Amino acid sequence: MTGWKLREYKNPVYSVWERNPYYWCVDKWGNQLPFADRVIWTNIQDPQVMRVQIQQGKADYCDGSFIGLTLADVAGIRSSRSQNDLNILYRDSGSGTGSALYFNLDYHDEKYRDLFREPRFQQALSLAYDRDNARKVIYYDQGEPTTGTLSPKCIQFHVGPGPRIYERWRKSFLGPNLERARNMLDETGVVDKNGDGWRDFPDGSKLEISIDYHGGSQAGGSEYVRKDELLAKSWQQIGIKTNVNPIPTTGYDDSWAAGKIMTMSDQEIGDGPDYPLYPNWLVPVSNFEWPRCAGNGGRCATPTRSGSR
Amino acid sequence: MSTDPYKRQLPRIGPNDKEFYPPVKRLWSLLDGVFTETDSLRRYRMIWEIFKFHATQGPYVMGTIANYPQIILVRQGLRNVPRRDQLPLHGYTNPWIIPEPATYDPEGYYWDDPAEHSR
Repeated sequence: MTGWKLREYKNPVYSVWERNPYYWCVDKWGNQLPFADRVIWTNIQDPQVMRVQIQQGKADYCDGSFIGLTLADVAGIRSSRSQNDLNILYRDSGSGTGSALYFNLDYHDEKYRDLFREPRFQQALSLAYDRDNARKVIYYDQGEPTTGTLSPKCIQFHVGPGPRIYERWRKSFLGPNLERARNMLDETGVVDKNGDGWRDFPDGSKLEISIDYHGGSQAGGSEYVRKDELLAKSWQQIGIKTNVNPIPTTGYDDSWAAGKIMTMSDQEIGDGPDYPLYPNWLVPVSNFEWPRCAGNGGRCATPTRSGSR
Repeated sequence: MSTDPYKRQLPRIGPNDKEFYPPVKRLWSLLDGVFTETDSLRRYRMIWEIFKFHATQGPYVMGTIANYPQIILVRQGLRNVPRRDQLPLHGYTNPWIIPEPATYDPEGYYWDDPAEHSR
């Protein structure tokens, strides 16, 4: 059914795809597709080696979102244009969040869990986040600051009251508004009890947020880690002690699903285009986006009049 | 290991556990409606309810910057790769459920000088 069929595969180096002469599509003039006889996919493990090879002209086509190239790479590719002969095209990402963070609402420590489930706590942290600075530093003044939504390309944002709902959601807890954030934290009882300059739990015990991410060779310097550092700085300004914390990739997701990891900070919502296609981000149906709430391995039973089913 | 394999499961919180997070019940209920409603307008209304729930009770996912641009690198001479202004949505590179670049019809890409790229 597809335009090319796999001819050769050498894990993890490359795969070679050969034209399928029986492909079912023609162009509007009746020419049989696909046009290219052979496609070679090259896999390069080290992102820096990959960048060098691209700059040296060893690639014909690269999809930035797929291989981790960002706006930060534009200058390097453009300056080596004579070597690589590459044109740079820009496309909308359709991202609803950019680099995002979410808390483990089923964190094993009850005190933290209750705090993460308190809307005013998360709203205060969102209001404290200096997204304007992140936009400048990470996204080269592109895109629009957002509290965090589903993709703005989602069809439900484009019909009826959709555009208004999108804007309301996008701006719902958009800061930076440190004064309002501090007031909201005060309302939740998260105040500095012992005078050390950091806010504590309402019972006086120490509060410390860990911004966790999958560690590994590709993590350092990524937009996620840079965002985490900016987030930590913003939260420290309202008195929340915050650390950025790489965790070994092996076992990370299981620990997350078991409620042992506090935050997920290296993800992003790009999904639409029609909400029911991928409901996971907004409703607990998978433990990657929502840990135990979703029930590991599938949704938990919904209560009914006779108990649960 | 004495538990029957069919009854083994990873840690989970169900609706009858004390740790259950009440808003989940509301979200599940709305999603059930979304999946079973055949009238599209009614379905959209339920989806908008989910959006509004997040806008008031969230943020459950804290975002930074929406819809920033992504880059595509195309060697000079590779033709038919659509530009941003040729795409109805101006591109949509980030969803995982739509494969990229499949939606941009790579079957139609061609070299202006095929001989130079044959080996």
